[in-house]
Amino acid sequence: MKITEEIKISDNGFVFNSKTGDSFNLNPFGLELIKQIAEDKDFESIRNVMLEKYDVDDLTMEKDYYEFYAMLKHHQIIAQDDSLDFK
Amino acid sequence: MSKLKYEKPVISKITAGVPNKFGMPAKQRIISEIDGIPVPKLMEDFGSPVFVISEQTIRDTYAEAKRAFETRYPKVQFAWSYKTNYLDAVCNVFHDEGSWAEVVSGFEFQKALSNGVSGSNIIFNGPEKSEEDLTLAINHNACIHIDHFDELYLLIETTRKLNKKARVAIRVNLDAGIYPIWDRFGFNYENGEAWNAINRIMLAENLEMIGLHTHIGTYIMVASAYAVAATKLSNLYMAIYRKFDHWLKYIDLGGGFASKNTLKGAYMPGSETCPSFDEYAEAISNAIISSEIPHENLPVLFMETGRALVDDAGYLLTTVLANKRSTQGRRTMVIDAGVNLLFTTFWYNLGVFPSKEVSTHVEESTIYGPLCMNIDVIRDAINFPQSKVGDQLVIERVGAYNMTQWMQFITFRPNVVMIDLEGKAHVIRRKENLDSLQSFEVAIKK
Amino acid sequence: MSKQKLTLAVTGLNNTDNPGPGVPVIRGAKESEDFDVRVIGLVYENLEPGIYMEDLCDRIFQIPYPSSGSDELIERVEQIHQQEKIDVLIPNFDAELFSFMKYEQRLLDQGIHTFLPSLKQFQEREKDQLAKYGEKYGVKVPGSINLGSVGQISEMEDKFDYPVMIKGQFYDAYEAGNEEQVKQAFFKISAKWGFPVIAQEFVKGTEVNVIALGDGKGNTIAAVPMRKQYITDKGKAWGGITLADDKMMKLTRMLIQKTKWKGGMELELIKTNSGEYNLIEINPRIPAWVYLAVGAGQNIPDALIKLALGWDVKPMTEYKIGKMFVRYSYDMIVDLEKFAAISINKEI
Repeated sequence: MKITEEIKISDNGFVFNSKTGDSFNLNPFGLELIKQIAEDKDFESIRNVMLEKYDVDDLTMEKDYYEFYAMLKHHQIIAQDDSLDFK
Repeated sequence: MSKLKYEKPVISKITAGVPNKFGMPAKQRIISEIDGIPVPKLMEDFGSPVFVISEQTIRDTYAEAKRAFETRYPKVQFAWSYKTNYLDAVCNVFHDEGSWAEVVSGFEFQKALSNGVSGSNIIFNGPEKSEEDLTLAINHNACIHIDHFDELYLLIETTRKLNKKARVAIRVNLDAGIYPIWDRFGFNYENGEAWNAINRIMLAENLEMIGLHTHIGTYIMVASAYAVAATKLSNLYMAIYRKFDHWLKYIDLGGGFASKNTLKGAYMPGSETCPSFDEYAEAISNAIISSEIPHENLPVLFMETGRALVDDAGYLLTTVLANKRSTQGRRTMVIDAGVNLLFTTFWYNLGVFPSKEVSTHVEESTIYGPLCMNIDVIRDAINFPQSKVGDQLVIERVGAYNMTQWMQFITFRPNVVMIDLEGKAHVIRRKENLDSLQSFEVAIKK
Repeated sequence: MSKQKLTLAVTGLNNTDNPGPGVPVIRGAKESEDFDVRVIGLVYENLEPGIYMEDLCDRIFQIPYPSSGSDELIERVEQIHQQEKIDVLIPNFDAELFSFMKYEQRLLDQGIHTFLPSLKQFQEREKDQLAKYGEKYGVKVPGSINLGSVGQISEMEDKFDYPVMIKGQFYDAYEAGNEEQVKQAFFKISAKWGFPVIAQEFVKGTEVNVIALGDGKGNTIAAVPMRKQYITDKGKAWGGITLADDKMMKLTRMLIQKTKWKGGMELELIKTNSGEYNLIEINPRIPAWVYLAVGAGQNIPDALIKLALGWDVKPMTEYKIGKMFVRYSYDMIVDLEKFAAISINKEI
């Protein structure tokens, strides 16, 4: 899943969605995560990088990642797919 | 190489320009210990959730109230309002400080007696007094505060049956500029009902009229309302002397002082706007002293303040059970203490605080209790830092009414712990269990 | 003579269709003949227009709303003070005055001067106390009743005929012509500004206002009367004109003298057709139309700064009669960077 082209991410954690006009605020870890997602890395590789770097266990990381990911979808930062597609 | 500190990733929408009640996130306050005992230690020893009461805070608050009144008025007597918190350990701290007992039912009357309070130091208020209750009160020589005419006549009848005298006062309701006027309790001042009741009592041979009582409302933010009430009672006090040549012993101004909690709908925090004991005491003392009552006949001033004396001393320690997102993307959090334990959450925005340093990233959140009921909301909007399952939180200012109005609903009521003056914690009410609850139930024998 | 350098912190940069006084206060201060002013803008929200106006503020900081607690607000101001060395602070919202009055001494000890009314002066003029105030100081005020619940509407209907004015403790006022409108206004106001909600008798006539500055010793340092020529649906002046009205001036001087008012203020009066003045509100701060007074010859922000610094300020008695102001709206083109900076860094 890709971050849509209209999204601009600044290094201070400011995110602007030029499609909707909404802007967002990221905490530092959120910023790091969104950058990796923007590079189109899959969850596995993101998790490995983060577990290496941060003091966190894999289940917490997984839970937080998916919550964050759901929020990105909710805010239309990640392209929507049909949630009733049951793929 | 040591790993970096982890923080949950968050993205939050910036609301542009729309007046946001919270503005810039404020610095997060943390409550890590209560009277020297770390919060995790209390929860490890006594479970979660757990109510914790600080004896030191009760005594300090009481001393502050006492000083405020005694430096302004010669004769002051506090009476502990049992319904505010009638756990024996709490009542006994107040009795130890010199408080009488103020009760509103036969049950509370018996509780006061069992706490060793002398019957003559019990004030018996409230609209519910059965013949049995009145008999108990007369036999113990209590101060019976009559609420309505039916009670007055029942009392006359009971004294005749017992052939004993009863010491009485009446509860007066009056317009002190406070809305709503609590005219459902007592006899009205403005329409002459109170004066009629006094005249009837003064004629009754078995009733000794010793005082006047009023209670103008609850959570009164304007101290001057008490001055109006005190002035009106002083007028009655003098009228009784003029007509019957009888000096009453006391004027009882009841309770109703605000605590530092913030009422829902209030703009500024309660801790900044609620009047101090000094302001209440100043208004009341001035009104009585500057009334017509001669100095040598000044009545004893009774105060029945409950909430303002005990709210600050109570804490509820609770644990985060889950974090969720609503379909609107709003952050919600479930904790293990619900409205079954926190009755006051219906009218206060209770303060909820983390017990240890947390993420600096705060987000507007809703905090739910654990009950499988839609009404179980502890805070509908609070700026709260990100927290993890298992994080321990502290809810402050819950000492008044919660431990009497709580419900045994869906789950057991938890331990209540008091930290004594030496900083030692004691269980003062055990957590309920299946046996204790089942003991009231009776199986139908077939 | 070279001007004295001064760092001035100002709140209320919300120059919207319901404007705060911050921007005109800054304009006044910048026209001072005695000060070379460096301006620190203090904002609550990220879209306050003052943030984006060119050459208005030298620095901008976001501050927490007073409803999150006075301590939070004051600590943030102190933190800004450490960087910027604020000489004078002019708060411009009613809702924040309580906090700044409470900590006046604490701010002064660090060198931040304010010029605010005392808590007693502030409280006795509150909208729910206006009846008492009128009696105490001998001013005619309309009848009012404090509503704690919609249950009291029938009590209100016994006292006044419709229409009535429904007002919040700090801000907002709605005219209500029936019970339904009273209820709507009541819920709107109580949700935002808490209790009580004030219902005021409607007095027919022309609304006139006076902007004034009291020195705290009973002297009126400045006073300019004005009539609103056009009022928006938010009840704000869109145009106004200075008046020559001795009665209003006398009333103003009398009130300032009796109350020893300290600081800026606005009297809102209704002049009835029979020429009677009803005091409907006292705002305990400089109003948003202050620049009209500056334009008419009385630089109130400048005088207030001097009073705050303890200078001896002579009363200004002259002003130009018939000076007008007309507000206008203007679309500024701004870059996203400023918005991002105030939203993320809380300062610019």
